[in-house]
Parts: sequence; structure tokens; C-alpha cells
Amino acid sequence: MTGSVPEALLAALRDDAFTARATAWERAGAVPRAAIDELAALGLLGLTVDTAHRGSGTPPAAVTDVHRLVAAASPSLHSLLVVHAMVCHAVRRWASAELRDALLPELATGRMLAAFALTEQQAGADTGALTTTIERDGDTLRITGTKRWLSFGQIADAYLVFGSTAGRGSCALVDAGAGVRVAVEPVTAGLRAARLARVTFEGATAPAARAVARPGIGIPFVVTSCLTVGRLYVAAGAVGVAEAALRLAADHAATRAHGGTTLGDRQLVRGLLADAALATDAAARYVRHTAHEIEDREPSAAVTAARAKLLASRAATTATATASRLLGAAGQTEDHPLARLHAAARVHEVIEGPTEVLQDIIAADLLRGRHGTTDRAPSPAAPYREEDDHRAEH
Amino acid sequence: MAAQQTTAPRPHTPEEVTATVRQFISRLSGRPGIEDDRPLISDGVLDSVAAVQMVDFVERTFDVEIADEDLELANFDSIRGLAGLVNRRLAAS
Ligand SMILES: Cc1cc2nc3c(=O)[nH]c(=O)nc-3n(C[C@H](O)[C@H](O)[C@H](O)COP(=O)(O)OP(=O)(O)OC[C@H]3O[C@@H](n4cnc5c(N)ncnc54)[C@H](O)[C@@H]3O)c2cc1C
Repeated sequence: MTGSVPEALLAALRDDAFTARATAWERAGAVPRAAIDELAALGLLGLTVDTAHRGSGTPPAAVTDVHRLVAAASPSLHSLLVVHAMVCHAVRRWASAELRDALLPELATGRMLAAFALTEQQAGADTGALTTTIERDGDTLRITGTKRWLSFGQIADAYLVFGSTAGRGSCALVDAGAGVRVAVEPVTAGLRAARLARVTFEGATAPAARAVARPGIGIPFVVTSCLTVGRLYVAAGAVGVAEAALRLAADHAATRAHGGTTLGDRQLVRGLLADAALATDAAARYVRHTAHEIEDREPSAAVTAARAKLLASRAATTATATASRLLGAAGQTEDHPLARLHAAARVHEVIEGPTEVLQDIIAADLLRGRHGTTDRAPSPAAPYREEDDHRAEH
Repeated sequence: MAAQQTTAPRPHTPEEVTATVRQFISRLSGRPGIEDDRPLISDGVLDSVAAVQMVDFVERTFDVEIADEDLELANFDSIRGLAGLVNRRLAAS
């Protein structure tokens, strides 16, 4: 992928009007489809899709910059970018050539808005407990089960559904419509405008060609590789949230008069700012490093992405907590931009693998080769290499 | 791509492919001496993250592309299955 981010898209996202609209979406508790269509026309949903399929073929590191920008203004809209990119990834990497050619242009242009349908009431972080079934009957798939908390599930045109086929983990892209019942989930404090839905598949059907890879491959391969990409992009969003919170905190500390001086002259305040700044910067650099590993198909990328998500969501938690403290009462109002950032950081610690699940992945990787054996081969997870950091800067 | 030049020269013989796959699986699973027919995924020898790492490893190390028709669990569930898949792909290229 060598494309760049479309100029008109960047201009639209950098415009103050974008931030103002994002504020309106948060108040209303919904990002409207019309706003998504408008940004999709500028290429927002086609960044990760190659140019042959009507995307912009933008490399992952440059895509993460867009995610930072979007999440800083609208963590809710950002979650659409994440799930849509995961579905594009599943189709590009794991679907048949026919499905790729048929669907990627639809996804890239936003004519088909796709949701990622993994979580169930009893199966969140644990994909082994899914109860949804994707039965094959000749040329038809029949899908039965209920998915919960699907970002933009209220307005999606299609769902990438994970379940099982004859006892093997599988997935398929299923259109909204007959046999698919969509109910609105209660609004969450973080990502208020993300149009969460509870979606019930009541024997919904899809052509067998809509299966993405074969049973046994959908889980674990497709789901894990989607989550790897999802973790990179959630991490990028969390960095955007952390950066925005840090800007609010630093601006306030620099200007708020306090006992004949400013808040920023107090050493304890400087300590808080320094810690938040370092956490944010470290996460930003690690996200870039992760994007390069994913682009290079490094085998370590899956673990690196788990690390990135953990690091960045914690940076967002630290930076938003610091901002919340320093802004005092002004930062506590419901409508303040900080409220949306603070709540988003909490969600970022849960989605695409909660913190504890990621710690488990990271530690398991560390411990491989060290369980009662003398084999001390280094872990396949590559350590951070600074030289990687400079490659995409030109 | 600069950091990838340290990998060993591309193995050619089927025996070398099997040996490389064996070595990587033992590193990935943390268990040396896994038998070639031992189910890796269905028996939980590899977790889901390791399973995905395995696919990226073979594609990159042997410079083969795993196509849709190869995406059968049997091709990934053992050292023998995986080495067989790589050898078929290398022979076809
Ligand atoms: C705003 C929002 C948007 C979402 N969008 C989507 C979407 O688009 N698609 C989708 O499929 N899902 C979505 N989800 C669901 C989300 O992915 C799940 O909430 C997440 O996977 C956690 O699952 P759970 O809520 O069932 O919590 P559980 O799995 O019950 O976990 C609850 C807590 O238990 C702890 N925990 C869990 N597992 C372990 C473990 N192995 N070891 C130690 N501690 C553990 C963690 O602290 C975790 O936070 C969304 C959720 C939110 C809040």
C-alpha cells in the first residue's frame, strides 16, 4: 500500500466545523448516516482498501494518523472506522477473490456500511463460548443467534457474523434485512453516539459464497487477525484521545491564574503533566511501530498490537484523568469535550480485548519457551526498534 | 523492511521446509519436540494469537501466498499439514 490520505478528507477532518458537528452528534447520542455518507464520499471508509477496489490504499501508519484525528473530535465516529476496517480486512485477507471483488468497492465507498458482530451476552472476551450458528444448507447459509453491543449495528447494511458451522468456528458477511432484527442498545457513557445495537439473526439467510474462509478458519484465524488490526486502530484512537486531553490540560495549566502565578507553575501540576505527556508520546510511537509490523506481516504483529492497545488505552486513561483533575469544576460538566474523552478512554480499555485479556496474551508470549524447559529461545515478539520509527516520516 | 534481512536464506528442500516449520512451532508453542502429526489448534497447543503468527510466518519465510482454497484447518493443524502446504505452494510457484 503506497497511497496517501485524500487531501479533501484531511481538510474536512481538520476543519473546526468537524469538531462542532462531532459535539452535536454526542449531544444527540447518534452519528447520522448522512454525515457518514458525506465523509465516505471523501474517502474516510476506503483508507485500508487498495486502489483497484476503489479505496486509497493508504499504509497502516498513515491510517493511524486519521484515526487519531477522528477520535480526538469524535470517539464515536472513530469506532465506526475501527469496525469497518476490521470487516474490510477480513474480506481482503480471508475471503474468496469473487467476494473481494464484489464487496471491497462497496465497503470502500461506504455504499455498504459494515458492522463487526462477535460479542454475545455470554461470550464477550471469550470467543470459545459463542452460541450463534451458521448452518450450511446447499448453496445457502442460515444464521441463528443474538449479537450484542455492535457499534453502528443500528444502521449497518451488513454484519460480519462469527459463530460455528457443524461445531467449527466460522464467519460470514450477512446483509441486514429479512430475518435480521435490530434493537437499539441503551446509550453507553463512552462512545455515546456509536449507534450500538443488539442484533438477532432469526434464521437469516445468505448465499454460501458469503462465507469468509471455511469452518475451522473463521475462528481462530479470521477473528484473531481482525482483532489484531482492530487493536492497532483502537490504540490509534486512544492516542488521539490522550493527545486531545493533554492539550486541554496544558492549555488550562498555562493560563489559569492561581495565587499570583499560574497552575502550570506548581511543581505537582508539572509532575502530572509530564507523566501524561510521556505516556501519550510513548503510546504514539508504539502505535506507529505496530503499524509497520502489521504492514510487513511480521509474525510478532498480533502480540505487538495487543501491547499497543494496552499501552495506548492506559495512556488515554492517564491523560484524561490528569486533564479532569487540572480543569477542576469546569471539566466536570457533562457537555465538556473532556467528558467525552474521559468516557472514551474507559471504553478503549474494554473493547477489542479488555486490559486483563491483553495482559494475558502479552505474558503468555513472554513465557513461551520458558516453561520447564532449557530452551531459552527469544520470544517471537520483536522488541521496539527505534529505526522502524523513522521510515514513514518522509 | 530493513530489519528482515537477518532471516536465514530461503530453504528449498522439503526436508528443510519441515525442519524450519518444526523449529518455529516449537518456539511459538514453547514446547520442543512436538510430533509432526500432533493437532496444534484443535488440541490447544497453539492459542489463537500464535495460530495467526504461524500463517504470517510461513507466508513470509517461504514467500508463498496462501490462497482461499488452502484455507482448510487440516493445512494448519499440524507440522506435517503446514509443511505439506508450503511444499505444494513452493512446487507450484
Ligand atoms: C461502546 C462499545 C462498543 C462495542 N462495539 C462492539 C462491536 O462493534 N462488535 C462486537 O462484537 N462487540 C462490541 N462491543 C462489546 C465488547 O467487545 C465487549 O464488551 C468486550 O469484548 C468485553 O466483553 P464483555 O462486555 O462481555 O465482558 P466480559 O468478557 O464479561 O469481561 C468483563 C471484564 O472481565 C475481565 N476479564 C474478562 N476476561 C478476562 C480474562 N480472561 N482474564 C482476566 N480478566 C478478564 C475484564 O476486566 C473485562 O473488562 C462493544 C462494547 C462497547 C462498550
